[in-house]
Amino acid sequence: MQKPWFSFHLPSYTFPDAPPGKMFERTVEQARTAEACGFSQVTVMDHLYQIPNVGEVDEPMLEGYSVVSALARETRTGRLGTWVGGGGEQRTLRIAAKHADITHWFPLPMSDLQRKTDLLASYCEESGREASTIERALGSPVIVTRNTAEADAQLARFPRNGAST
Amino acid sequence: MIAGPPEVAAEGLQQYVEAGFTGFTFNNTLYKTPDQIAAVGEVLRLL
Repeated sequence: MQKPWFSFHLPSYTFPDAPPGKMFERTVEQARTAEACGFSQVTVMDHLYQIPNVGEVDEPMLEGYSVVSALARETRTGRLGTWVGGGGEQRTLRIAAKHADITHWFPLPMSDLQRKTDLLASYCEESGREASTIERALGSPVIVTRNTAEADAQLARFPRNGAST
Repeated sequence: MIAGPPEVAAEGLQQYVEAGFTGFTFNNTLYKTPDQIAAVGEVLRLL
């Protein structure tokens, strides 16, 4: 079994305690901290506007490719690669089969993840690619806290999700 | 969804690791401070 790796994902550049002019400085701070804590990747989205469930559409944003380039200067161990995010079974997984180094899905029930894994393998076969050359990654299905009280507070945000501590 | 200290989180991730998922992403919308990020790093060391 391969040793798992963690990615620190930066979908937001909004830091309530920092003005927009300090956005990149804070982003670098987070990326360097993640690197020091053993994360092997830092990822960004290529969205020009913030998306629902992450923040408000008019939040200040940084352009993704510029951020990746700048973070490469500010960190030491990051690697570049192509992620295809999303588990859409008709289109996205076909794109992943052709182009992805890493495919990234939401943390769904295991039966759904297995179905997507099987589909990805069949699309790889159609494309003449070995499925094992694509790494499968998930948005973390766990929330890490320092104590039970924090865990309870986080789970209260997911009241209908079968959450547990 | 499981939430808890690093030991609990590592146990929760184990079934996904065994199913062949090699990578896990943690968003900066949830982990903002150095200590919150460090807690996730502890999970990695436990896996």
